Amino acid sequence: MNEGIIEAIFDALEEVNEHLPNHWKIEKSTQTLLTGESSRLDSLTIVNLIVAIEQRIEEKYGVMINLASSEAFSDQNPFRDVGTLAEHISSLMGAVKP
Amino acid sequence: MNTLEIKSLIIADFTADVLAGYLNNDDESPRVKAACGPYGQVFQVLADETHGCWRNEHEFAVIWTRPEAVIKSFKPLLNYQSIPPEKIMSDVDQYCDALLRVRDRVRFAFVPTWVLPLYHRGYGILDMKRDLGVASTLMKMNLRLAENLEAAPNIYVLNAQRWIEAAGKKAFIPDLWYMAKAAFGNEVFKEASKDIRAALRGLSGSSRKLIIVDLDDTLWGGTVGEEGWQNLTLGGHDPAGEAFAEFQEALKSLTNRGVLLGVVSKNDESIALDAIKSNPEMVLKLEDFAGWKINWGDKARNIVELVSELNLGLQSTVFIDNDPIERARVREALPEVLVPDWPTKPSLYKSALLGSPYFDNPSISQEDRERTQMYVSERERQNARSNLGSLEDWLETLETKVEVQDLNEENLPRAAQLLNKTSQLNLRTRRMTEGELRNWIAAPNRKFWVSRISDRFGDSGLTALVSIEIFDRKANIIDFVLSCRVMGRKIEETMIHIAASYAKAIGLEELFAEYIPTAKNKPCLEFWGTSGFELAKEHNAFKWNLRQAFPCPSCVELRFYSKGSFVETAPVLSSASYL
Repeated sequence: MNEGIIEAIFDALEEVNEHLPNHWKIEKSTQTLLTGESSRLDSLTIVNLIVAIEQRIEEKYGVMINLASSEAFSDQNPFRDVGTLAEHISSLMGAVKP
Repeated sequence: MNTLEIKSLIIADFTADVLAGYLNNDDESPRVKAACGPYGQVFQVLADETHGCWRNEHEFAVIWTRPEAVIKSFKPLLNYQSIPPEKIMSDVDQYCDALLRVRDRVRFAFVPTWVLPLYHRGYGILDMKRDLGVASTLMKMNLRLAENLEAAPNIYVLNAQRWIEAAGKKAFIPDLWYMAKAAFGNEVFKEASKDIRAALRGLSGSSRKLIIVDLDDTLWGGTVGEEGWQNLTLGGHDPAGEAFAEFQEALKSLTNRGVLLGVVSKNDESIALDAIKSNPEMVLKLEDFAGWKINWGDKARNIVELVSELNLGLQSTVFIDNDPIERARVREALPEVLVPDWPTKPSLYKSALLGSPYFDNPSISQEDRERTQMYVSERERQNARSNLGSLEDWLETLETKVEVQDLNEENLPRAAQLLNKTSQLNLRTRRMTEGELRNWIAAPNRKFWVSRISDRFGDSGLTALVSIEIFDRKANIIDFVLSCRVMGRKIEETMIHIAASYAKAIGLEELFAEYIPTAKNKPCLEFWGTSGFELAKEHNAFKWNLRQAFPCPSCVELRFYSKGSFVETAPVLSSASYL
């Protein structure tokens, strides 16, 4: 399932890249950092990315997930990079049956 | 508008950075550099012309608001309170007064109409009741907004409802609002960006003017050379036939906006033309086409020849063909020609055409509506010419009439349009809005004449203009602009005669014309080189000594009009413009 989720995240990154300046484009890689000190993404971009990913997951799997819940921003930080985000989404989807 | 990057300011009562991003990321010309004003300070920015936002000399502004945020009395209406409609309209008027202040700060401003989230059902069954419904009130507010802003010709109201409908379910995303104060989803901003860019293309005179279509499986279903015109899929009680007929109707409708139609097709010309003339289901007739190239040659080469015959540029052209190989060939050979991806299903042809944002213009003149007829007249003119000997003999038979007027409020929109859209026979390629032109002519040392050209084949409309500026007893020709439709018919010399006669009559000694080269106005330099003017010391400047009259060509009948009435056959000498 993770491959499909990563594909959905990459699709969402493409959508967000359409309106980001060239020097801020987000690389489509599982190692790409999304939050933290080394990330260049501002809060508006993160929000846009969250919404775009939620839409892709719903379109692809028919499951509505909530990435912006307070648990998501816990100490473990599932938004650290694309890979950790995919795992987080996978666990959320396991908890929410379509 | 000729700068490489157009600076713009987005003023909104919500986060609109995504719109700025879409505008900035489009590589198509004109390039835009958009920035957002401070969040939620619409009134402050509009009211204060010294606000830091305005320091960057933006060429255009987008002012986008939510009705409940800027129209105080609308919010309670949304909460189903009873609000007097006149109170709401008064608030709209007040907001419009603030909007009108930007007209002098930017060259153009775009104001999207107000919309409501799709989930807001208003009063449901009662929502279109006058003076009660939310939807009916919002419609009236938008109409009032558009009417009020007509006071500023450089402010354009854009229909945001179309963007909402195009975005569908993705138009309003509550998470984006609650987490980022973005009022709309990305799809809405993307559609808005497309429309704003289309408006910019129109305002900079770079909208497309010519659609060249293929025939087989594009204009009709089937191959006419093999099946015969009687067996084509077109019209009748057939889904595909109806789709082809409606596509033709859509093409024809665009001619009313000034778009020309042409045909480039691999076929035997006689067979194809016979099909157009004889098939009773054809919506498009031969006289709807400005020209055609129907043969077995390379389509890219045929497009170049047709565009050249019509005196247009490749950058003004759209090519529509159902065959992806032909499209790829034209795209590669002629990158300036817009070749849209074309749907495989004829049922989608009409929507693909009417949804394309390449034909927008800031005004529609009578000349635009009659443009195809003018080209048909030109075709007849050229046919007549081929039966005659010399060029002079032919010109004498045309019975050309040039009707001259000073610039006035009636002809100002068309004059500005001609100034902004003409590239080839254009001395200095000045691009000006109506307001800028009005301000320019207000100076007493300037004169501006516009001319309507007609001959025995038809009326070409207001297609020539010339203006002068007087300094130190010398007159300088500032604008010398002719539509390509009237080039080479001695109108050029006639326009100089008008300016020279006026300058001589008021006692000036010399008339100058300075040519400013562009990528497209070489035909203008070629004309001036043969005009009889002396090449002045300055590079690309031409001089006429006014002790000698510059004659009016004998093949032209010149008439002057003032405020709609014929006045005299000499230039109008009143120095004051009656704008």
